[in-house]
Amino acid sequence: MDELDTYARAAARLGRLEIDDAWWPGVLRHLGVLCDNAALVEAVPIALTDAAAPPTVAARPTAADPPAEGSS
Amino acid sequence: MTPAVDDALGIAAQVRAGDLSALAATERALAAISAGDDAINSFTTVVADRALADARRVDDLLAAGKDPGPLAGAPFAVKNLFDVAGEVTVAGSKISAEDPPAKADAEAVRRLSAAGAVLIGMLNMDEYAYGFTTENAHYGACRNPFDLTRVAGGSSGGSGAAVAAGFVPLTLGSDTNGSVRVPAALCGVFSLKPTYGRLSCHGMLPFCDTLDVVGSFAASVRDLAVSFDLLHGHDPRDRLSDDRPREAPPDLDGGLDGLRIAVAGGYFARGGTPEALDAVSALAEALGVSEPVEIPHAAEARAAAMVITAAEGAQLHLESLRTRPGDFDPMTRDRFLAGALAPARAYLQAQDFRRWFRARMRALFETVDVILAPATPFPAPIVGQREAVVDDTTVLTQPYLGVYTQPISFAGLPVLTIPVATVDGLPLGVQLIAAHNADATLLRVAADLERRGLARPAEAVTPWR
Repeated sequence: MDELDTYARAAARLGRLEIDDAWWPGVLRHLGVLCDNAALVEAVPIALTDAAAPPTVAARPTAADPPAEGSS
Repeated sequence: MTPAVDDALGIAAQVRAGDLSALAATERALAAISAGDDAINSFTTVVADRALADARRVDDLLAAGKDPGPLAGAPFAVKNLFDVAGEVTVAGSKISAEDPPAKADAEAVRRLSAAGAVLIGMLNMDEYAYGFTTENAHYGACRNPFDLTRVAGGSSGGSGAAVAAGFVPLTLGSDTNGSVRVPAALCGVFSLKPTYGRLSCHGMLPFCDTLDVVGSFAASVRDLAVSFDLLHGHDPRDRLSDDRPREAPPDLDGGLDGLRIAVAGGYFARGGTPEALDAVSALAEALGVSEPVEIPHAAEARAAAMVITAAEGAQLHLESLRTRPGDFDPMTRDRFLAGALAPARAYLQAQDFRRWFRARMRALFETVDVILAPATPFPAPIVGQREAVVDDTTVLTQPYLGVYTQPISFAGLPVLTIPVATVDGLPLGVQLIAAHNADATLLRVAADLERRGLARPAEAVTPWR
């Protein structure tokens, strides 16, 4: 937990996140779950050739944005 | 089994035949909400003026001999993360409540309205769609119409509860990890989470772009089918919208002939209460399905989904997390903050695994057409219940509700949830899962199960109906 706490506080500084002292236990618990989940995923021996394409992450426009011409 | 006459298409048929005015149908929905929703808390906004104006427009079109559309006068409502022109898209949050009103309807709202449906209001949800119970610190918990001491599920809890309560026959929600399927199962109604990318998310506040889909809740399969038919198809304003051509309306009379149906084993055959697992077994037995199939690495798929969701969700709300973290619902704040702190490697690795997992699911569906799996590990928990015991193991109630839904949406597969049973008066659902873009197959199967009486909405005590 000390290692996680040290990492998390450094990551919070890097991300310019000010986390209230009262919230840290909950944040660390959830971060610990994410780390456990990441370790579970990492343990699966996937072939790199199966996963070479970059992930697609793009923000969707909202309805407030003007529609593209000719769109439905 | 004949669909209920008061499903959306049933109301539209009455309106088109002149047996019921759209105005009367709208007033009936508004009266039911007024009478019953103080107890359930499914609506955050009721747009009565718009609804009455839209209803009069439908009646005027009919009086003029024009066709108002297949959903003429049918009331519907949407999760409060779909833009509705003139209304603030609150998304279950205090922060977004300060946003200006939306300038236009979300594409899904626009399409249903253009088909003659009458928007009644916007529905309660977990803050920013991050949860499975709709226990919202800002707007209150949405209660289950079958037992007001219990949750409706989430994050689209209002969408499930409003249909189960009989306020409106058709609602929209969003599903990222199970947010349509969980409340549908706990509220005893049908739902469709389509294949990722098939429905436009334009004008819907995102939670996790690489997982979000628009889903429908209904009291009949034919309502799900007409909703899918109206809503699917490419939208160039949604960059993640699939450019597949539109399909013909789903064939609901095709039956099960020629379909290979299996039941999910392994991960999906354990970890739930006996009642939840028995609901699947009973359906499988009724269909003569005995062969289990293994969905490989389901636990890891759920784990990766949680990493991706936390990371993408945190990135989306990063500015608010930096400037006003105290205004988040405590239930979501800690998880968003944890997502903001998660190392990039964890996220990228989860996305790599996802492509690998999706390929394996494609291979699996070369051998089977539809897989049956439980929708939730147990019926609706009590509001405020933090833990549950399953298989002699104590689990956290809220996240564990997604144990069977998360691995499936992680692969982007379509899922239709059917109501199959009640335990001590509480509904349970089963997931019907198909290959990518086989949404129509699910509608065909569900329609057959509905006709046979194997799938039917549970009946809540709704004195306001």
